[in-house]
Amino acid sequence: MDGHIIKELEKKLNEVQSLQELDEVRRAYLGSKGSLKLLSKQLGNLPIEERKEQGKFLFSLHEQVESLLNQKEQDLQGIEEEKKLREDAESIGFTPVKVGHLHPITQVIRKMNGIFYQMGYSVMEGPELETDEYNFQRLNVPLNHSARDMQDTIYIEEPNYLLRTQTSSIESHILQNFVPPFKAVIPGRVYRNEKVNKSNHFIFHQYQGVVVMEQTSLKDLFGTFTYLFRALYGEDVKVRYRSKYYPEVEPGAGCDMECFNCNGKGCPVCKYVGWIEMGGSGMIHPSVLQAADLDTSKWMGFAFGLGLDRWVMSKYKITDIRSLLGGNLAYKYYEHENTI
Amino acid sequence: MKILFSQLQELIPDLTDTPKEAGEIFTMIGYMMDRFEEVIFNGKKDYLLGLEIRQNRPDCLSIIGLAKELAAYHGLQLQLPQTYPINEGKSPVDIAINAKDYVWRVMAYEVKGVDIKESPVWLKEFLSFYDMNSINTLVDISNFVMLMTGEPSHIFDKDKIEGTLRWALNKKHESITTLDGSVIPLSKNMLVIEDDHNPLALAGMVGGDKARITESTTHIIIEMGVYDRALVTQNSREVSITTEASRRLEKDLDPNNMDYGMKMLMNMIQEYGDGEVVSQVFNFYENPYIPPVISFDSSLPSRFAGVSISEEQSIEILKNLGCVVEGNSPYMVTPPVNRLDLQVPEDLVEEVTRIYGYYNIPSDQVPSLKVVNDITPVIAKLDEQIKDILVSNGLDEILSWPLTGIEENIQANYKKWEVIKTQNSVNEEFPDLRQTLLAGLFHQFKEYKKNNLNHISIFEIGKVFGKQDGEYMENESLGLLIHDDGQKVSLDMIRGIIETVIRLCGFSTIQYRKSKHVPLLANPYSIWDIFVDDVFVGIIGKSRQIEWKGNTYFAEIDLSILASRIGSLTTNPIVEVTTKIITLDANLEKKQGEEIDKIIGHVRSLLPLENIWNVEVIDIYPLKDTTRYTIRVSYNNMSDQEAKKLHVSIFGE
Repeated sequence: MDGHIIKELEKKLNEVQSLQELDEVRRAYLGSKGSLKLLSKQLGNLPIEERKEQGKFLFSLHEQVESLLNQKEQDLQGIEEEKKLREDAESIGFTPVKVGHLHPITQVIRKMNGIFYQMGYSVMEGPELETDEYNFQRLNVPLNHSARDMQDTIYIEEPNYLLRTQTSSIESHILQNFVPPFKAVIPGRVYRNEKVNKSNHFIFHQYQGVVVMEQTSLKDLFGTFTYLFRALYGEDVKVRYRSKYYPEVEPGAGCDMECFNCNGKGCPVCKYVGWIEMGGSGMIHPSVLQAADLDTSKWMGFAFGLGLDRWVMSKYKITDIRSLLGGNLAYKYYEHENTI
Repeated sequence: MKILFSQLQELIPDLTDTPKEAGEIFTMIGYMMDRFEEVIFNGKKDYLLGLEIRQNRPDCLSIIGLAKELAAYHGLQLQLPQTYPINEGKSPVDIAINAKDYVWRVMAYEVKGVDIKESPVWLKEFLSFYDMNSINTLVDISNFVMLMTGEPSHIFDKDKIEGTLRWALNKKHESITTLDGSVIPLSKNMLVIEDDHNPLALAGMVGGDKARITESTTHIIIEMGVYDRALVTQNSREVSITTEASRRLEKDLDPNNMDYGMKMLMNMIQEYGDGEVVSQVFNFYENPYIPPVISFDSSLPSRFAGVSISEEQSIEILKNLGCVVEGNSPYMVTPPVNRLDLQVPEDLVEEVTRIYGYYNIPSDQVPSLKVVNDITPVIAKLDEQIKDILVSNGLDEILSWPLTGIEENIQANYKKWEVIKTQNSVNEEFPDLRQTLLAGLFHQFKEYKKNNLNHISIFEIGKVFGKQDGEYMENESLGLLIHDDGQKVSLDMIRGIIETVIRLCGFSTIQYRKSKHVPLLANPYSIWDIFVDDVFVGIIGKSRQIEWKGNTYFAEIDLSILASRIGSLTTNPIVEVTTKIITLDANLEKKQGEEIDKIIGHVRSLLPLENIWNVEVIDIYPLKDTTRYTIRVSYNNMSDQEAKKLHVSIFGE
């Protein structure tokens, strides 16, 4: 009899498609009017021994039925879940996600800032609309000094207000506003009165450094500058220092890097001299320290600066400086520079 | 400055350098070689070295000056070209110096019977290396002596001078016709050389046509002068003329060297141009240059270089450079008279270190400098952080021009600042300093559109400028622009980016109010002023869609204002969530036109900060005269009952 019931149940369960149908089947077997309930009621009419026997049988039958129903319930739940998941599923898109980019100048500045952060430098900024005092006079370039010819100036209100021609102007502010010792780098935009064309622009980007300590030296300056170039170009880079006049420093030094194109043999890139001029530097001139009321018997310092534009153009193979500064420079949708 | 190697060999007889070695030494001691060329001079192989001369060394704008440097480097003797005494006449030269404050020294002679002819071949060939055309014997000799000694001279035809030759600040002349026929306008107080009626030269710069020498000239006045360099610089800039003479006279040229230069000049004129010196020397030199005596501590070069430079080495270098060194440390050092750039001890330190050689100072040791305080300003940190946020949001950074065209600036401006204009920019079409970054962003946007870029999302951080109450203003600003030809961008998207930036700066109260000053490039019905903690910080809006399809949105915020307020912020967004967030709604009815941001701000101000999780408007329903807002407040760190009690106390049942 039990085999018959189970077979019948299995047949029915095969036809069940939903949890609702399953519930009906469950009620038909295990409900208060279900077939197993009826069988159980009939037990009372049996003699005691037979009742025990049938009782065990019914209990076993009940367990088998329940197990089959539960198994079916689990199967149906899985199917329902699967159906829901399928309905909820989305397809992956094909439109590439727009990746943002930093401007090449910023990327290079970031890299340099990172190098100087490691050495304990602060990163400073300052006004672009500057006074003659901070741009020239405090940097040992008095009015009508011939050194002004090195920098064609864009004036806002001649002779006092101008667009800064060098980031050294921020050095003037730092010297005046902060109590030494300090170490700072100053990335920034400077202006020169030049006609814009493919290779000239009125905007340049400079990277300046200034250090004021009780004791420092050309050796510290050269060590710092060389470390920068090694960090940027690799351990094997060759750097040389030579005497060069800048009004705001003394002794002054020019810094050259061996030509990356010809390894010092001479080529059109280095104008056949084997070296490429990278920047200027030197010990801060006593007049510059004195202009900031710093006692030159106690404090000394060094400063350095380099231009970023030509370097960035070469790195990113940009041929027109107008592209670099607000022209045709764009970023490809898919490509992103690996900055890690 | 160019120099032939054979000249160095003549002036330094014991020189053993090869031409290339000499060039490299010049480079290392301050005169970078930017040209090295094999040439033929006087029928022999020679080398032409091009050297960069910086502003502090006008003495090296001369062949002898450069030879002195190389001789000093090697500690070798210099053999100057021999000169002979001048057979002077007896009469004075008719010269007057009126501008005594601006004329440092003038020397002059009057010569009769000169024979102006073609220059010898060697002289023509020599001048050709300096890109100077041969004119005639006298002019060529004048140029030759300037190249040798650095002292410019000028020759006037005496017979064409009307009256006295006078150095004066211009009072009456309106213009001068120069040797090449150009007419140069003259301003008042330019330093001129004039006669009783006409300007004859712009002193230190260029000669005039009036008293020029020609082939028929036989009677001349020849002069050398050194003037106030600032005035020469100023005059040169004003007339935009730079000559070989002005290049030298705009710097501190040595007036004492004039004695030697004049002697060489007169010797050569008599050798190649005949003539008889009929005058005494005219020599105006009321304030002769006397070199300073500098106290020099011999330990200074080591201190500045960071390596040991011995006292003996320092003194030897200074002596080789022509300094007189007396006493013991601190020594009394008198620089040579031609070195006007040596005035303070640090000047002497530079001399010692550059000749000692920077290549002798180690450059591979990273200094272990003292640890110092971080003085990085908030704005610099802010810039960096914001750029990272924007790049993460898919925006590209651009750098645009701070100088703009007038119309572009007007279209973009929404500030009360007056525009600042440049006075002398050579890029005349861009005379204004930008008042907002929108000008550059829209310029860039249009450039991209021209090239068919259809999805544009760009930002810039940079300075904006203006004048307010007579003061120049300069603020750091952030500008954004997003555009898509389709519908992939929205106002909400750019608002989300701006809010991310502002909130990550630590500000939580952001409000939008209809803009009071609408830039012309904006849709006037879709633009808002952005307020942070009730302070105006920028604008956000939609562009007028005129020339292109799709939607374009922009925003700009003033980072200087944000940075100034960050300093006073005390925020702590970190909490430990130990209780469930309780969310309760409330309806508020407000008069139409009342700013919803103000309402939220008011609600927030009523709630204890430590218990607010979020306040937002979830529904807006317009009624007849009012608007009903459904506000959803989420409480944290409170029980259900506490939250309900607080909610009812503020909003009522």
